[in-house]
Amino acid sequence: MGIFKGKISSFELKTFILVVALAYMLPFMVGFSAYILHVLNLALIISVLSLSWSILVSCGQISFGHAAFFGSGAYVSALLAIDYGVPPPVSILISGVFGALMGAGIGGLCFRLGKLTGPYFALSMLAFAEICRIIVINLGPLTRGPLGIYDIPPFLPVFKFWGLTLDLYRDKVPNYYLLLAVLLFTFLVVRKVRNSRIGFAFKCISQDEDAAETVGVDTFRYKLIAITVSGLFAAVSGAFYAHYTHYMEPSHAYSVSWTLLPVVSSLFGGINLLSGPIFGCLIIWCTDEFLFTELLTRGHELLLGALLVIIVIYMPDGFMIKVKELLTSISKGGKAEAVTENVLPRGEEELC
Amino acid sequence: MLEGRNISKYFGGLAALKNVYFKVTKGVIKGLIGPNGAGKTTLFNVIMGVYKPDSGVIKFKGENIIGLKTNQICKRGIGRTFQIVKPFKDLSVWDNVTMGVLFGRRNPPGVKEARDEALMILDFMGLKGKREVLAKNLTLADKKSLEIARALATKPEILLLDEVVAGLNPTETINMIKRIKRIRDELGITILIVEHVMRAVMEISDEIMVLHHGEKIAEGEPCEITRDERVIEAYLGEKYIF
Repeated sequence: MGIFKGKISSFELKTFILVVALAYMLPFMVGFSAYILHVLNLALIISVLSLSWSILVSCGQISFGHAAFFGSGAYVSALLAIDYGVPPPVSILISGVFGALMGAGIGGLCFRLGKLTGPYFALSMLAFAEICRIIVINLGPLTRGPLGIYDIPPFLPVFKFWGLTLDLYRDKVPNYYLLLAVLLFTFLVVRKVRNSRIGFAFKCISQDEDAAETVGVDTFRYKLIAITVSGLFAAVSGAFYAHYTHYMEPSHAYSVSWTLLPVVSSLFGGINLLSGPIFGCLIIWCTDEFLFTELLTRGHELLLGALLVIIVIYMPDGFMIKVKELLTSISKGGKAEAVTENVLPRGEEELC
Repeated sequence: MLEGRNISKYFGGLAALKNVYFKVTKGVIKGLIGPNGAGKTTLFNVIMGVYKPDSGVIKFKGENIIGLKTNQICKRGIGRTFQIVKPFKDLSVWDNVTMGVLFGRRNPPGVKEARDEALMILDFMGLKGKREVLAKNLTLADKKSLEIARALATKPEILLLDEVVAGLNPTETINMIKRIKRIRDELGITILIVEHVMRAVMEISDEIMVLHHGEKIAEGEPCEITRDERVIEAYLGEKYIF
């Protein structure tokens, strides 16, 4: 079937609907616990970031600087909302556009002027994030420098209708649904991109750039598209983070965590599957928070690192591949082996 | 059809190509030979826009193509294979060729038509039975065939083949030679071929051009070339000239 498989199978669609339904019922299952939902909300935001990072990876480019987009998105949206009174839904969109422009700019520099590939590109992005942080610290009058921004308004102001109060400031449940919707939207867009001509071009470039160019793929143009779309979603995730946590300061906004979390999530879940970064992120984040921190309050990162090592050694393609193999074998009733061998290594187009 | 004048390319102080003139007329199979390091692959890279020459013009169907990007040159109708094969290794054979159809043309068809067309090309190159195999799992001979198939998918008018016979066993060599001839005879595609295997290149070429240290030292029909003193000198050394 290859990567040009057109329609999704009914099994994939069923799995997808099941997962979404489960996700929507989750707040009921955890008894509306504010603590659990807060952790989940952060995980959802980082999932969006991981997904945006995976767009660039699907084009064969590894970035160590997504903190640049994340932090800038957060700052642009927060400042617009506070200093200029732009309603957050609009300011988030603007920050997305800003992220896309940043992506196009740094992409143009790296891919056209510098012709940077592989580690050179990755490290340039690392430097880019650092440059952004220093700029924000030193642009005091505009960004409030190292003091940071307080009281960033929530996505929607508190309002009442029919006796119900929608309080995105304090209540975690509406935030959960909002962020879930954002993740779902991002997922569908990324999926659409990956299954389009653009996605096929990404695939060629990630396989062999010279060969791609020789068969007529405009590698520069497609790499630019990849980093633009990636920057857009990364900035949007940063913006949602700012409006969710209500506080932002340069070292946090441009923290290396925002660069590393997508890498770790994608490694954990599997880069080749669309769902890999999402579930990788959710599981890593939640395991760390609910299990490892309980076991070892100080140094829980140690356990996380050990888990990652195990995953990389025993499931180099990520654990979602294993989950998918299992699901496929259940659905095909034992005749799984031939199926998994053929379909899985090229599972980019798969829905879940 | 494809013509280059005064092409020079220097890598630092080393002249990879010095004032090379070449001309490939429509419908011929032209061989390009020369010892290692003679500049054959560099010439291919210059034609495809990978390197910008330090001087000279290259005209394809009367238009200068220097300064165009490789992908634009591909869309204008020049296909190329690599000496060291570069398939999209994690894609199936079929997908590899479909990519050529989808991206290598000015007016690409839809995915479904592209896949059908790719299948026809695979059939032509004898790879139809292996269409679902991942490219990395192919034998060398099949990888070379796949390279040609992928280049054919871009609908070239001229095909640059870089050592497609090197490393193949005698049977595979014969099959490959037959295929190359069929590409010219049945598809009407002009071919410029770099090859080290003399038997192959003498058998299929209508004309041969010899490069040595970046300079063209001889050009003509295969039988003339084998008797040319400078060619023998370049390949075997001076003392073999009697």
